Amino acid sequence: MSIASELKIVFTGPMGAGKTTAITAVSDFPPVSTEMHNNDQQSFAKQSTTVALDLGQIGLSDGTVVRLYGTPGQERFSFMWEIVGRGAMGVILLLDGTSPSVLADLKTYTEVFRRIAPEQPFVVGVGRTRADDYTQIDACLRVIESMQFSAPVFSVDVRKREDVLLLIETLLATLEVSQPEFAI
Amino acid sequence: VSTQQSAAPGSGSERRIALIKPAAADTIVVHHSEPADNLVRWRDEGKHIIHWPDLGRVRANDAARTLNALASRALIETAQPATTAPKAIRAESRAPTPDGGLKQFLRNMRKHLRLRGTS
Repeated sequence: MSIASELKIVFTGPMGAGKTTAITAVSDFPPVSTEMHNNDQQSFAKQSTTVALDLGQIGLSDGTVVRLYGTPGQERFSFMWEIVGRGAMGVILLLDGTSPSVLADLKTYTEVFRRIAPEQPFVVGVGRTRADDYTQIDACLRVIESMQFSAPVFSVDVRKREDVLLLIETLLATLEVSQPEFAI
Repeated sequence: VSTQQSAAPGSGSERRIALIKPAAADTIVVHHSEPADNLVRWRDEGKHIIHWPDLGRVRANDAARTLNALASRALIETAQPATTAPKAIRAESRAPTPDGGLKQFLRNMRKHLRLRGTS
């Protein structure tokens, strides 16, 4: 295990899941984005999309810097996932709960990032779901269980900072109990 | 034994996580994380501690001794579990460790983000 003063948390997920929005909610400064005009309106109708990565930052009082990376959502940029995901201290997967491919997306991203960062905390946030409707969350949990894996799944609105903090806090708590220094 | 409070903001459920490392054991076992109103598993597989004493972060042997002493005097209430909870083997993280250690990092991170946890 290497010692580092620069750490990274990765936000991943398909196009339109809210990765850029989530990073913006907690970053110390507006994230550096590589947004381009979205030529794939059929997949997701929005004006622009991330083509390389988003980069936000949390600077702690002791000088430690936590980089917040957002992966590009389009699959043709999936070669970036491994580059960005390698060495991450945790991965937050964001999904669009209204997408017909939400469960397939969950499976794809979980498989990829469990391969890239198999020992790291993995937290799932599902957006655009009704707060009182747990159907989608339950379905996601079943998919994860079918992969012989366990990860927390939350219904979130990443436009709300507290929802993004919920995901980060869960990631930190998972990291906390997985570290030898927390066992005496 | 290390006992920690961990809460997911908005979840409404405080969690107490107990990490227990028996002196002679090679592996460290998380004896489950459950809502605080559930019973927390103890190192004695046959019993649960109903009221978990606040031992702070004391050494495993000392904590086990303390728990045994308290239990023998019936100062902590124990009960037979209805079912045996599955054990979870800890997976150690291979991510880079922060310069000042993980504890300091978590404290700073939570302070920075104004999260509720304080560990």
